[in-house]
Amino acid sequence: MTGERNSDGPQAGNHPRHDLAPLLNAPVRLSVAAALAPVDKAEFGFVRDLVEVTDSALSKQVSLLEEAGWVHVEKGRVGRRPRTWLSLTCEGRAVYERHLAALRAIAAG
Amino acid sequence: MSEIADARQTLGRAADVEQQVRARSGWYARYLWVFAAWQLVLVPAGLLLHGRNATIAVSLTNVLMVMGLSAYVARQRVVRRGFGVKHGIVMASWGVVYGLALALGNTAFTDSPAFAAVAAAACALPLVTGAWLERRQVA
Repeated sequence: MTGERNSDGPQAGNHPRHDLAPLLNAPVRLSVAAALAPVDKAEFGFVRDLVEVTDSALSKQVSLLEEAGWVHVEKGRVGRRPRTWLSLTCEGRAVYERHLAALRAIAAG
Repeated sequence: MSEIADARQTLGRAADVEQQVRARSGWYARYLWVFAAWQLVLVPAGLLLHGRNATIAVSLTNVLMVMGLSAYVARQRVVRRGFGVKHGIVMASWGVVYGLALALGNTAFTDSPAFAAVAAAACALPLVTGAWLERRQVA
């Protein structure tokens, strides 16, 4: 997985940057994860408005996170209105927390 | 140095997004406040009004209120983490107090306005506590 620590590669070491998830280095993807972290689920439109991106841009980023197994996409209906809900998976939540912990360690110097 | 600054900036951005989400997901506290206020009408009406017409009127108004609140919930675009458990605990607590209030009000304290007032406040208490806890999380 993208968020797993690579202990065999040339970058192996103790520096906290090795705990960063490369997929979350993109600002939009990190914002999506941050938007979903305090919630069980959020509507696609809610996340789009919060992150301030277009439908297609968000869709593309969410697909990447979904492929990684970090975001779950659920389509449903409320009355006649179709709704798409986004949520972080357990793995996605763990990766996001690890990513933030690594950032905190880096920020602390 | 730049790596440290970048990390701090990214952390700040993530914290800002999380805070915005919390601020925009305060609907459950509003739901609980309205339901708590409704107890101040529902419980005394249920305990003090008697007769077929009064029972029908109270039940019908209660159904309309629950339907309205359910529609309000269905329209929400975000569900706070742990909502299911929280809602379950709040509603179970309210259910126990409400059941107890009705049982005592219809047996030991029949037609007592004082008991109806205390029972209404007691029924509102779990909902107000839930709303207060929810609001604390937003802040």
